[in-house]
Amino acid sequence: MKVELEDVTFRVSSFSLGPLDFSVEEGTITAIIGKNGSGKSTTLKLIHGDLKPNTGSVSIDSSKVSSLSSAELAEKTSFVWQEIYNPMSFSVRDVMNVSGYKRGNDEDSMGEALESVGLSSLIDMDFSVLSGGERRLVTVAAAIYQDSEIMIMDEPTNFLDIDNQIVVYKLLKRLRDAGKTLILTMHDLDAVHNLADSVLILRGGRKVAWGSTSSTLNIENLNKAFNVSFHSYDTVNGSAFAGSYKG
Amino acid sequence: MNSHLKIGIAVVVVLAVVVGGVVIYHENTAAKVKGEIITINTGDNLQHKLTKIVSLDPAATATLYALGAYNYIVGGNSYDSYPPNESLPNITDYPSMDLEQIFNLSADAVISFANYSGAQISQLLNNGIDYVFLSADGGVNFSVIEKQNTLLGELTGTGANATLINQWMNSSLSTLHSDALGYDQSEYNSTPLRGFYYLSSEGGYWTAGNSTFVNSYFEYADVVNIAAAYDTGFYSINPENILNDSPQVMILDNSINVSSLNSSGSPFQSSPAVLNDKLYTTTANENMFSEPNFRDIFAIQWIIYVVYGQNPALPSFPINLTYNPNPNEVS
Amino acid sequence: MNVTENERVKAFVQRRREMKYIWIGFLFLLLIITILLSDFVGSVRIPILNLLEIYGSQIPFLSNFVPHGYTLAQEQIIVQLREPEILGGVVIGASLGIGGAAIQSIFRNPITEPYIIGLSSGASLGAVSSIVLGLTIFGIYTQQITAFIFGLSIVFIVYFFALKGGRIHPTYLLLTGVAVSFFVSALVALLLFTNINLQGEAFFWLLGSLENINWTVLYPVAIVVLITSYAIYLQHRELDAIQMGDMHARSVGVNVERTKRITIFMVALGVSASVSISGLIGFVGLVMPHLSRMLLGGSNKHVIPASGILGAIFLICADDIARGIVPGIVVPIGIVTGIIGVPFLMYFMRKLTGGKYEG
Repeated sequence: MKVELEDVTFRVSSFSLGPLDFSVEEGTITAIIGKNGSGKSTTLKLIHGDLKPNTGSVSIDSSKVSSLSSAELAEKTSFVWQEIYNPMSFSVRDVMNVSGYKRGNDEDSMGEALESVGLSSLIDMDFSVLSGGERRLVTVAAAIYQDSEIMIMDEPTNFLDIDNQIVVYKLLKRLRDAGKTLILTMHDLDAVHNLADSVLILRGGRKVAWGSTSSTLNIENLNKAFNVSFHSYDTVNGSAFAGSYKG
Repeated sequence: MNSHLKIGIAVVVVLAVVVGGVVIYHENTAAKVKGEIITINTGDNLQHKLTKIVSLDPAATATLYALGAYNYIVGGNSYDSYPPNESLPNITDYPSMDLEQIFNLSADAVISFANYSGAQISQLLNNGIDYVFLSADGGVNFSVIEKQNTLLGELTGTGANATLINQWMNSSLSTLHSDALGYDQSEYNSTPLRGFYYLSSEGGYWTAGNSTFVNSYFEYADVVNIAAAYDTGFYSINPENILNDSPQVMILDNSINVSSLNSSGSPFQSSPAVLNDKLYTTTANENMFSEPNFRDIFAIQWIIYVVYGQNPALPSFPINLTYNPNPNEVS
Repeated sequence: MNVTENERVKAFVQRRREMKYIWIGFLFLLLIITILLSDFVGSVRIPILNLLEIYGSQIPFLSNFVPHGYTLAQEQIIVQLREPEILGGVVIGASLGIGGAAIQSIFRNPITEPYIIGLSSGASLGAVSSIVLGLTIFGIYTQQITAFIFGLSIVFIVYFFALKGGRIHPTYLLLTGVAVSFFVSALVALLLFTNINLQGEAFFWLLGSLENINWTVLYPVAIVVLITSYAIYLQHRELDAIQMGDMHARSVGVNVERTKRITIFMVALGVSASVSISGLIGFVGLVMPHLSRMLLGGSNKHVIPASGILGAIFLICADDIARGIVPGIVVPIGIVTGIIGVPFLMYFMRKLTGGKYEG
């Protein structure tokens, strides 16, 4: 499913975002990068219809997001939130059940989704006693379990150690290869470099660059987006970025 | 609509029908003849006489005794004081009536002056028990008391005695009032004394205002109740009014500490009543100031006795009773 | 993970889920036992044989075969006094427990209860104004009916004040509820101030009591509570989702505003009806959902029915204590729920939470 933004602008008190004008192709990973407060999460919420743009429109699969009911939206997209409320005494299963609201619950798919993040043994654990990283993985698994074509993730690797970050990166690639469309925000530029097909770079709510990763994720654009001087260097795995603060 | 929902709705409907059935069944098992609410306004509209009465009103217990209907009482209350040595079971009356005890005594009527909930009263009526409501609040005066005597007499088949008591009350009242006017003339040149009834010091200066039976005691004794000018019913008077009207005689409930009247800050400190020690605490007759019934005549007699130092004679009580209804040390 | 371990996990999971149904079954049995035993409590002692005969006589068809060795007074005490009071406890306890579970989910806040949305202050205003103004427009049940109408109306007022751009934000709803409650409580105080003689009567209403319940008032309330409780139960999956955040609930396909509207209306209807015949009974709506979560986990599929059953058991027991502690005198049940309930809550919180609410 294609996601299209046409001349989207959004304003709340002193912060304004946009205009954003791009379309995300089916079966790709799109990363949104930028400093804290540059409008990454806001963009995700605009795509998901949680915020209404002041001008322009967002459409998923050529229907306007604003005209979709929550049930229709849930069938098309899932969302991994940066923060979720700690639900009183929920087990992992309860959290997963919530994400199965639309598709109907089914033990096997739930087990598979949890297994994909390596946590199927925690299914009857209390969600609140899990570590921050485990909770993060459970919410990713819940989004997978929701089984929608588009997955929006706000910093899916937050709280994760390096092992689990790699688990998630591999998982994201597998999901893309299975035809899912992924839109996510991330801070790890090397991961973006290795993972994303397209990149949107934001600074202060303005688009710095948009396009394929190879044409967009370069030192020139990164220097515009961050207060850091970047340089790239070669590693055995390809090129990587390093930066020093511009003071 | 999925099958779970259908089953759920079916269960709810079945339960609703069952609950309805149970309730209708229970309402049908309740007594076929409903009880009546009886007041002095409705009068006695019963086809039968009451013979198993629960009295939650000490004033009514005393009246029933005087009427000769004491044998018809099956349950009393903890405030009953007359006749003394009561052997009736005490029915709990606060904060609500103990309906279990009332049902257990197979009572045919409950007499009360309190505002019980409509639900409790309807429980009585549904189970064939009459509810006799006698007011004890503002608005009760001697004419109301006489009507209550008549009502209780009719309900218990002792109407003739009720008439005798009412005649006695009327002649006593006119005797007492003319005696009081006479004493007032001889001692104070017909300028009525200013009086005050101090009921309680709990959270204010509680007294009896206009339209109370206590106020009419003052009227019959030819004493001006200073509290009658400001409010009706039993109420807490503003101390400024006490200071302004400065009572010359005071009737004190026996819960009032006499020495507190003289303490600094007391609105009574400079009143002639305190300065001249015209303070009279109720004793065995204390209940006459809270229970509206025929014995209130003796309260007036006592007020006249303490205020004027005279002992007015009363017509003798028309019914021969084992226990003297007069609680005063005077007779 | 190898196959045997997977099997083991599945077996464990199976057991855990069966345990939940066993728990609910056990609580239900406990409720039935509590109901039957509570019929013994009261100021008049009724022998067990007579009690059993009275039970038998109430069962259609069986009644012809049961000996009628009891007195009319005994039958009246059981059938007209104790049974409606106990079943009233079931209905009111259940509606408060279920309402509490639903409201805590909507607010995602463990210290809320049904009264928070203006219900209690509204019902007090209705009851107190009917007492103080001496209203009789609805006959002897004026007080109950005005309490019901006012309770419901104040919830509507709170709801519409809290409505912003078609959405209800939990914090805003909570604050509006608190603010409106303060205002309405001030009106209650004003009414009481104007007629000091009636403060006692109003005071007892505010403390709550089950003894004003007879079959006539129980009937409509039981039907309302039955229907609203079931309607709330039908929302259990939506409420689970809302417990994880409004935005998350929407992203999984829940119509958040509709769910909130239905739930708040159903809670308001059920609890207003209950409170109108019992007065304000605190504590049940706050605590029973927690106890349920401790026993059965957080999913509303189990929390809602378990809160209802636990609320019913707790309220009947509190009423037994209220009736039994001083023979003949019925202590207002609000006093009992507070004095007995709070230490009990503190104990269970320490014993059973095991850090579940932390972090």
